[in-house]
Amino acid sequence: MLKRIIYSAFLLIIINAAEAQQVYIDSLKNEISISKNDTNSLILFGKLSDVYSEINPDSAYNFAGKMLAIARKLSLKLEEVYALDQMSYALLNMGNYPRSLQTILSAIAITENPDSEKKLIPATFPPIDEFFDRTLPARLQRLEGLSRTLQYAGILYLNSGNYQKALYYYKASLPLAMQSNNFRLLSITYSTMGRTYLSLKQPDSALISLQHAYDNSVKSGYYRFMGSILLNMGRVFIAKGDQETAREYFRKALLESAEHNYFRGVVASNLALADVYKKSGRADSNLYYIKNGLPTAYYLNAPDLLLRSYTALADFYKTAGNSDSTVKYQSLIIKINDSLFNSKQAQQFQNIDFDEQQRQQQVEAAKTAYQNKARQYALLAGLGVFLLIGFILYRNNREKNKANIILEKTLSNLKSTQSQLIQSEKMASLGELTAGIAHEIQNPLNFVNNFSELNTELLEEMKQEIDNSHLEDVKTIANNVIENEQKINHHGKRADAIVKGMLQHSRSSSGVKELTDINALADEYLRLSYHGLRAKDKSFNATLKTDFDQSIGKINIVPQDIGRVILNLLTNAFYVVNEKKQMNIPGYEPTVSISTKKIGSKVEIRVTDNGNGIPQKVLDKVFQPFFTTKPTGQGTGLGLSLSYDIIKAHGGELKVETKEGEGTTFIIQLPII
Amino acid sequence: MKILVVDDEKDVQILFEQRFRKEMKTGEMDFVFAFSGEEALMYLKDHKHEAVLILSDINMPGMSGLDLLKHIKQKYSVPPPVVMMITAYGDPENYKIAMKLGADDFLTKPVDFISLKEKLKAI
Repeated sequence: MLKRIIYSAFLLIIINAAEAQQVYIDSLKNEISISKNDTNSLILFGKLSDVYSEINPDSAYNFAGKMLAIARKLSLKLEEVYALDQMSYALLNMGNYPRSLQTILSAIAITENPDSEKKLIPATFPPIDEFFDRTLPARLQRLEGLSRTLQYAGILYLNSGNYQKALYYYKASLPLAMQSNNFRLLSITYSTMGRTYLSLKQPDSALISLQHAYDNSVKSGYYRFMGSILLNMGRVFIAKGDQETAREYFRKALLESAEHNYFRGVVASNLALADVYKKSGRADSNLYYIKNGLPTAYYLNAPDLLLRSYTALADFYKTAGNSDSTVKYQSLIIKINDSLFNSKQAQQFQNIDFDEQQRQQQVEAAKTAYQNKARQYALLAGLGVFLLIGFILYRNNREKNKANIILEKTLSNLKSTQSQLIQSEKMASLGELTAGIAHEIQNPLNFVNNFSELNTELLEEMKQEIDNSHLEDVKTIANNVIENEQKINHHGKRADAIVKGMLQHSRSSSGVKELTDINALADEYLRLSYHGLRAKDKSFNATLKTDFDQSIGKINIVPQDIGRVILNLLTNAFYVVNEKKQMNIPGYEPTVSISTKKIGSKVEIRVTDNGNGIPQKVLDKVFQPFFTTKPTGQGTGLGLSLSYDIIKAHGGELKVETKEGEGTTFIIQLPII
Repeated sequence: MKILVVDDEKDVQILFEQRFRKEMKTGEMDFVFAFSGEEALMYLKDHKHEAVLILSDINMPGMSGLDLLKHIKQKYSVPPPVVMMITAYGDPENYKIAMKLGADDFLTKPVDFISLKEKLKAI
């Protein structure tokens, strides 16, 4: 009795629901008839197709076809995809898997192309179903469309028994739906994934997927397919051998499906419950639930559901021994099977599937080719950049080399100029010396000549004294001759030393250090420089003061170089005292002094003048090359600079002390080594 | 006749002593030597009116022959000794200055002792 009531209640619910749907359908149709806007009509056709999708696949297909036509006319690619998805699903429900596959694949091809997001229906228009949001960015709208399409492909493969492929499509679909947080889409995708895992006999994976589906449904408040989720959860527990829990889920599934007008779920839940009872040996309950779902199956006219219902009935009657009814249902089964997914269709399906695989392979191949090409281009571009950099580096290097060659040339020019300058500086100072040298040579030569003349005289006298036998006088004369010979020899050597010194001075420095008497060197150059200046300016005279420390002994220096420094300092000193003398300052006595002194491990040579001193602003520059205060042509400006370098090369120091108006002292400090 | 020879070259003394050895023997000429202008002035200060002739080199360190000449001609005006200048540089500049300062003669090195002797004897 109770069962009958429930049964009647279900029928009533379904009839009511169907009536409610009919009202909705009528209003949609009415709207379409008055719609003057293509976009509006497109949306209305889409809605009609959606309403019919679970009730009447033929109508769903029909309206989707009308939507497709408008979408193509308006070049609304994503709407076209929606229509194709609907058609594919309708074809699936009609049992025409080959065409369903073909349709869904063409939908995938469209959505995979980013061009499809270029033209969209404005966000002001309502969505076709509760899945989509027109306010999303174009790209996300496309990706949602692709996600849904892939999910439909998954359902198709699931129904055709290719579970792995179904999973492949679901897994491709999920991340796309996640990008826009489309929990509704996620919910149905997880739900169908759960079904797939069930078919693969992986109840644990199935339960996880279904749990996700359940959570996403609750999160989004989307209960349309909750019945299906619960039904499949029940199936998980069947697989786990827990009939009791399974039955609870089937019951809930039945209620949820009925509540949310999910008619397929109503039929399936009834059949599931029927099966549970059959297994527990309760034949009456078995029959009850089969029959409970049957009207809805009729209403839906869904061949798969009818087939399952008839099969269950045939089984029941066979067990019950009712051969008439058994035969009746078996014949109905055969009839449906003919129309349903038969071997011929399976072949077609496989062909399309194969074509799709080929297409995908081609896509993959094209992708690979593109990547290869891209890689090749990148490589070429890289190589080009590399070559360019190489070329730039090469050119830079060549420029640098060129510049280096020029620089080296310039450097060698400078070096030769420098050596020329040093040489000319030497010759200039030699020129200043010439008169001095001439004087210095003249004096000893005079002595040589005089003493040799005297000796001739003396020897003549000696002859006379010998004749006169004045032996004492002969002796005296002989002694004089010897003395004179010594003088001749002394002055000859003196001249020789001067000539040698001159040659040494003009020669390039040997750079060889030798033990030198610094006092003798200083004295020699003092005389040379003094007479040099005298030769130029005959009226010039200066007081020369020398103070030589005789304890120094010989020190290890390059004599030509140090001689040149002393000469330079003395020449400068004479120059400045002469300059001051020209000012006719009363009581001014030009004085130049040179002194040597041993201080610890150093020898200090001081050259002092009582000239006008060096102005402070000039003082910093006196050791700079080419700096000179002399009029043009009178000084090279290299004297002090070269002197500085020479003293540095000896490991010594050249310093200057000056007081304006009082004079200057140059101090050479040389280490005794 | 006392002759003062001024030269920074010390060997000049031996040279003169030998050149004028006969005159010195006979006492005809008496030579004294100074090796700088300063030394010459010292001698003149100590031995007033002794030297009647002064033979001086011009180019000497310190006080030059010309300075010496100037001193002598200014300080020893009555009667000024005969001063003969001897120089290695036979240039007109020195000659002019020497003459202006009152030099009695101007000789160029190398000294021709024969003509010098004659000149000395003529005084």
